[in-house]
Amino acid sequence: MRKPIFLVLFFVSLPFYSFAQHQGDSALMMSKDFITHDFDTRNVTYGFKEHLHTLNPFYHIFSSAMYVYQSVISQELMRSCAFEPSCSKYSKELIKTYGLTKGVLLTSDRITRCSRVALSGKEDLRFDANKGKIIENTDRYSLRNSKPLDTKDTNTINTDRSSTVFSARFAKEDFEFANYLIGNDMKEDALVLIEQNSGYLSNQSTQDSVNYIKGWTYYSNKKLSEASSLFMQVSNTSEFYPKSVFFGSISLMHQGSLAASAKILSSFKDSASYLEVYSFERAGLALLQRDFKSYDYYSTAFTSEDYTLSEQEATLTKIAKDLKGYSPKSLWLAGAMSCALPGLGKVYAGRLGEGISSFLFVGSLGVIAAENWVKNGIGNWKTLLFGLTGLTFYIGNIYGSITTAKIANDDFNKKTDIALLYSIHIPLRSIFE
Amino acid sequence: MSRGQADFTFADSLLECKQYKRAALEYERQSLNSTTVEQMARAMFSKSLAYKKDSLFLKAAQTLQRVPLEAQNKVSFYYEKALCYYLAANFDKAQETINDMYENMDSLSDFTSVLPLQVLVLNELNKYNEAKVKLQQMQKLNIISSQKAARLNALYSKPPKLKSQKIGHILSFVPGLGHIYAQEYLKGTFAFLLNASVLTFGVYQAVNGYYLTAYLAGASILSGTYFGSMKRSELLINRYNYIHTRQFNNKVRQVLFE
Repeated sequence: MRKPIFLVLFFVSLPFYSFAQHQGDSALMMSKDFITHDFDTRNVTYGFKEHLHTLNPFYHIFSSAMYVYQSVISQELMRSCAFEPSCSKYSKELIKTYGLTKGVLLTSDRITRCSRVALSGKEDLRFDANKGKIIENTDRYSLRNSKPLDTKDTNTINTDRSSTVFSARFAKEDFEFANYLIGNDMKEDALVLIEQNSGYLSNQSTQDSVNYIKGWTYYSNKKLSEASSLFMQVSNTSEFYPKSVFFGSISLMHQGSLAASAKILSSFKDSASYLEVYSFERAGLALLQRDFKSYDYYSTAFTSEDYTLSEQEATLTKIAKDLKGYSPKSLWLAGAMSCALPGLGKVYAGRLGEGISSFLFVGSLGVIAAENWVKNGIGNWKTLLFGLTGLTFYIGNIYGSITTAKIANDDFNKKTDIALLYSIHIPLRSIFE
Repeated sequence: MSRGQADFTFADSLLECKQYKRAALEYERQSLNSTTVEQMARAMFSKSLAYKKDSLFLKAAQTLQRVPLEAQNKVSFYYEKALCYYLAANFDKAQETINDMYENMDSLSDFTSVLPLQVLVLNELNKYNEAKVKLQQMQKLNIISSQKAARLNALYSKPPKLKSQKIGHILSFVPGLGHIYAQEYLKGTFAFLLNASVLTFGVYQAVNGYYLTAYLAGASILSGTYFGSMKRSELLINRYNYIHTRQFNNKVRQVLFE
């Protein structure tokens, strides 16, 4: 008799039981909206400036045309733009930055670069793999020199102890735990661990260990400013001193503070024990500074016998050779070449696809204008429309070629710096881990 | 690292105080200190809970993978894992976890807690018939009231009718027709007019002997707008399906948990 009563009670209570058990989860499941932004409509604004106070009719004609294109036409076209911001949005930014005339000319150059032909072959340094787009800002068309890596000692190293203070508990218990977290790819957890601790330490040796592990955690999380600051606070009596000096200097190199990095390496107390790796790092730093004299001096210590260093020494030697033999592209020659034959300046700057694309665009518009000129005369609307558009693309392509040559020079330097930073980082990993 | 006795007091208090990141960290520390399978399992379950409360659902699901195998043989383990994957919008993984549960567990008595979640997962995967079967199971087990079951059955009698990509693609051979199939009438008309005008321009130029203009201006623009319309209709069909499934799934979810 008891059994059926129990069973009835069980089944009656089942709904309440199962929902009560996961009441918090139900709220979570309810609140989750799973909204995707893939289908969001494009946010289009009218005009090129923040305040629409102009009465210029050309401004409003152009703004209206752009508005219609962005809101309705662009979505009906086959190719989605390869760039971010998109060509039309970028055009607005260009007009805002450089004015209507120059902005339109530069837009024509951008359009020639946003085609399958132009994008083929050349890997762009500004390509963002996550977005699948090439990221560009209006500075691309600025002829000002791009900011070189800092050679002045502007990055002040924070050695003020009061700004980084730690607890004794952290020093005692958490050193190994932080190491475990970093070693097991839980770098963010390690960051939470080190950032939750505060309080002074009286013992220098423990303080050094703490500074080192904090620096290492920040370095692992690519927070290089904090890392370099902490590495530099490790005193020369600590067992972590050599590693801290090398990783502190490389953190500064990555931030572009080359002079500060050189200063740290110069003051390294134990350079004799680490002679070859020390010379290797100094040689790499000299190349980043494009100081070939210093490079020649430090590279004499390369023995190519140490297995942790030999491969990277060879890489550094090759980079040095390339750098010494590199002659930058002439901006004005690129412009002149594109003046003579549309796109030729871009080919000279090493962008074959962009050159061909420019040639096809300008050439096609020229051919259409010529056909209409021959058949209808110069005053025909089609001759004027295609002729003026062709002329815009022609001038835009000349200016674009000049900036492409400048970008080719900048890209060479950037690529070299990336290769150098990568190369001088590898032996440190092998030696100190 | 030396191993001591796992002590969850500090970690639990952090979780209580909603300091989820620190709580997750302390549970990780306790997993290192743990000496038994139960302690390790508790550490990982609790760490996962901290991530879940912090809305880091994928991390929570990944943490559950680290629960020792001996402790995985529980419905609560599969439920939590499937829930975290569901909340992380990884519905395939959520379904896979639920299937694993049916495969690995002998007793079916505790599955009741998983059924509502499974209905939601199946809905997100557009498997409405399977979801309906699970709903009937819930009704049989008395998990939902008959009133609620009737409302849900009414909803499932009209599941969202999704548009076919294939039909849309075939229709869009006539520019704009694919848009109209996706119930975007204005956009469809515009796409048709746009393509028609470009075609007219190209043909007019060719007929009047402007072959270069017809080819270079007319044909090249037409290829862009024609194939562009096809691509656009594909996107509009996806959008239509997304909106309708979202509306239906949200309604079911609301009735299920209200």
